[in-house]
Amino acid sequence: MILFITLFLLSFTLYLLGGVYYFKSKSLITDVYAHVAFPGVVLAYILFHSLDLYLVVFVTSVFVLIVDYLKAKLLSITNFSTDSIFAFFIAFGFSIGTLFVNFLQNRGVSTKAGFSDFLFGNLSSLNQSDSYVIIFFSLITLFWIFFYRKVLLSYLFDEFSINKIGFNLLYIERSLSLMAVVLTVLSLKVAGVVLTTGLFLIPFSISILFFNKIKHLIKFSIILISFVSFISIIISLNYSGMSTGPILIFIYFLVFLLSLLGKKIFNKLNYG
Amino acid sequence: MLVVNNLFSSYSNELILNDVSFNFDGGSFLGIVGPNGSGKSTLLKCLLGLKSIDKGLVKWKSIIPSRDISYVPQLSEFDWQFPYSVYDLVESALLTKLNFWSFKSKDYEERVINVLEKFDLINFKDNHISELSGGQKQRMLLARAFVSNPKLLILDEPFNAVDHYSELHIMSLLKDYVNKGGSVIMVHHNLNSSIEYFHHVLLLNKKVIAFGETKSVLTKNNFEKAYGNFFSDL
Repeated sequence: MILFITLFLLSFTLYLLGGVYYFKSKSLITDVYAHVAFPGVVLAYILFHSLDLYLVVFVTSVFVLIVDYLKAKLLSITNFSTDSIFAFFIAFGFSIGTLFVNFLQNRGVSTKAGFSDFLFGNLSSLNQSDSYVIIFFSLITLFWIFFYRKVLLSYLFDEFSINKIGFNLLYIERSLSLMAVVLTVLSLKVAGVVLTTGLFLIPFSISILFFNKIKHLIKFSIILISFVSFISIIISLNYSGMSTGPILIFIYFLVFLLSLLGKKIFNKLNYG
Repeated sequence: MLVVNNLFSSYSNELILNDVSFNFDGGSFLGIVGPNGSGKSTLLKCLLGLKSIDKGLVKWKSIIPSRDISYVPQLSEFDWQFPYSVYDLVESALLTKLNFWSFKSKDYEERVINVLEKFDLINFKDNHISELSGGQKQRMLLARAFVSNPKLLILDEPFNAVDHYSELHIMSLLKDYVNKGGSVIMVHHNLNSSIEYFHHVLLLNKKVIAFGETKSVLTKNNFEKAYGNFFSDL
């Protein structure tokens, strides 16, 4: 039950943040965070010889926020497109992470130290304390989103309206970045480095295929995420050799394809 | 109401606004006209603080921009797939620092309904914003601008993708607003209708070509200065 609550809350929070980045046309940023988080995880181990989730979240978040600042700086001083800069940091993050792992291997530290759980995601490796950490940060993020929901909607549709009411745009953007970074780091242990971005984007993409009102999007997402989380947990716990990340994303992608097909058939039947 | 002195602004080292100065007293309809790329939209963004200025001064008098100005950007600047109904979009303008946490306010609800009726959009209030035509979208954005009772409306090419009937409808609403004491600054590209619409005109081509009452600004000589040989050939 605790695993289900953990996965549901995490997935639902990522879904909402994924929606934010979807409407800001910055979907790839979650992939940047995931890839840059990876060397942060290894760095936490190099510095403190521990993969305790609180410690990992702290060290990795600091690391990712520094890179996030560099990314913003690079965007402001060059004419490169946002996508190019994002691709640059995705490659940079993964290469540094791999070098850090090589460094540890050369010093005799086995990859069995637990890095693979962060690389590919493994729900069964979560202990109760890890679940509490994930639930705690998910709830904080959900509370923030609920509290600022009107500001957030205005920010997404029309930034000027935020300036108009004297709200600090930078506060909104920095808070969103911080929450996305922390939740990305946490979701590494569930979905892994490469697949975390799928948790941000695929469920939202499925919902937006069918609904264009916020209340409907939220209601549908709760059903969708509950369903996929439940199935993934059953598979993960019964087949210990299978990583959770690929299972989760595979099911979401299957639902996405079926939704596309279903929508096409529905449109054909109704509109010819 | 507004004083602009020696304003310079640029994008990536290209000067877009070159020493722009003018005063606007308010209570009237000011049109900003000029060729494509002449800096009209950039000027609006500088006035609103949405674009940084390199040099110069933008000073608002007797109004508080964050409270008294409503800005309507071009239609193309919005994502029309955003999950808003027509009602949600208009209501979003009533967001203030004080009420951002509240659920519903009866007074606000009435204001939104009234403005939707005034702009002939009440039958579409539950529709998704993408389901409206160009003219209806523009009226919806204006309804959103009006609902917060602004002293000044700033509009960026509101008649793009709008049919003639909708343009006349929107103009009658704007004229009514100005007659009741409101002020409008509007970027516009149709020179023919400019003569009819505006009390004052700022003719711009990176720098101010002419500024003043409409008839004194929209002259052949000034058009040639702003539009160059293209206008002489017509």
